[in-house]
Amino acid sequence: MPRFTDVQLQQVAQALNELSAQVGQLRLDAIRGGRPLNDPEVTQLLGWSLALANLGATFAARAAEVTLADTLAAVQNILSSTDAAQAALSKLARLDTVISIASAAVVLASAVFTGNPKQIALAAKDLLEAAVPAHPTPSTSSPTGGPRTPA
Amino acid sequence: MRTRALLATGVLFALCGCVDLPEVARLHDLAEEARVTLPRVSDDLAGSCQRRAALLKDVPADQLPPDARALRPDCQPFEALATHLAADQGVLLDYLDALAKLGSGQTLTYGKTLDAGIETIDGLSAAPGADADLAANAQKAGAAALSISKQLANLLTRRYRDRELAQLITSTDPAVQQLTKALTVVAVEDYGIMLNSERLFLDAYYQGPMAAAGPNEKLALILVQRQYNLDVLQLGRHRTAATRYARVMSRISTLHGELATAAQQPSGLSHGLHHLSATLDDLRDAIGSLSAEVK
Repeated sequence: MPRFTDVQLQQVAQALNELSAQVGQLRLDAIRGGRPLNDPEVTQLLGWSLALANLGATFAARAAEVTLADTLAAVQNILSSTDAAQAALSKLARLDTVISIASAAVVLASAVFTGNPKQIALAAKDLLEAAVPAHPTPSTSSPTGGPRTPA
Repeated sequence: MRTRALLATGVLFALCGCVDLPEVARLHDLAEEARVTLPRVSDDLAGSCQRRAALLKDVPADQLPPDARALRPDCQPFEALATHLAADQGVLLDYLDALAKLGSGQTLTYGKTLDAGIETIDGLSAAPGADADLAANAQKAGAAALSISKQLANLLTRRYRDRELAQLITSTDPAVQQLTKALTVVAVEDYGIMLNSERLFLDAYYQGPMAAAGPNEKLALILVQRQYNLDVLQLGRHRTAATRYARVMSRISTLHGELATAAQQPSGLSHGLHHLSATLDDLRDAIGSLSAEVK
């Protein structure tokens, strides 16, 4: 069974880092808006932001040995849901929804390490569902506007 | 890949070098310098992870979620990876050093024997007090042996050894290209992503408290901002080092590619190295540039 290509691994790792940066920015916005550093939601945001950054750092190394029958479909699934999450986060103000999206993204990244396509698909669906209510027209485009094509 | 490179190095060391390639001999010093500088980049795969762990440790507990222990980066895989990379680099540098030695005649086991033989023959022929007949015969025998030996030496240095080394370079080139490419990908892509993650940790660590600073904390804010800038600057140096590391790999790849091309010339390896000096200069500059960044 095939493994992820280097480019696919980098794409997913980069998507996780981008999500981490967005969650981190929303935490900062909340602090600037007057929330204290030890506010429960602010601490949750810090936790999810760092968890996503950790996953971004380790993803390529940990997922390199994962084999899947259809890696391309898996990567498409992952990237379309992370893109939807990014689009949602860019327009969100509600911290509880941000936390839901961030936690679903962490679950998705962790699901990849299992090598179970059903688990990956389910986690991708959960991430989409976390993002879609907050962002009714989920975009599959990258932040720069063009569609993201998995390698 | 690593095994193939190791095998190639082993075979090279086992050979008797009789090739006169003074430019290739420069690889010895370059390999020695690279042996110091390259690990500073590959070791930092673990270093970056440890810095993330250190930042997390310094965040006050009440600013972290209750399950913060799960956020602690697991650096063991990166330590193992750094060790693996160090070994791969070591093989590559051993191989370059082997080429250097072959090029400078340092491992001319057979050649040295031959030279010693010629000296012995010369010495015997000129021995004072030798029996006139013996001396004459010895001189004749010696002269013949000398002639054969010189022909043999010519054959070994200009043909057979040259061709043998050429064959080795040709057969090793795919492994060298593969190794340098793989190390480049690790340094630029994988390590690059890790440094991006480290930056996210840095931003979270510094920017939160900076954003929360009150108007009466101006001095503290300035000091924190300075430390943040220094850490970001240092991170930038790691990024630059990774780029320069990739440049060193690229130069090694180019250099070996040129050696392999020369090795396939009908005129022999030693006649096809016109551009090697410039490529070696490029490699020296690339290593020097990396060395300056990781000091």
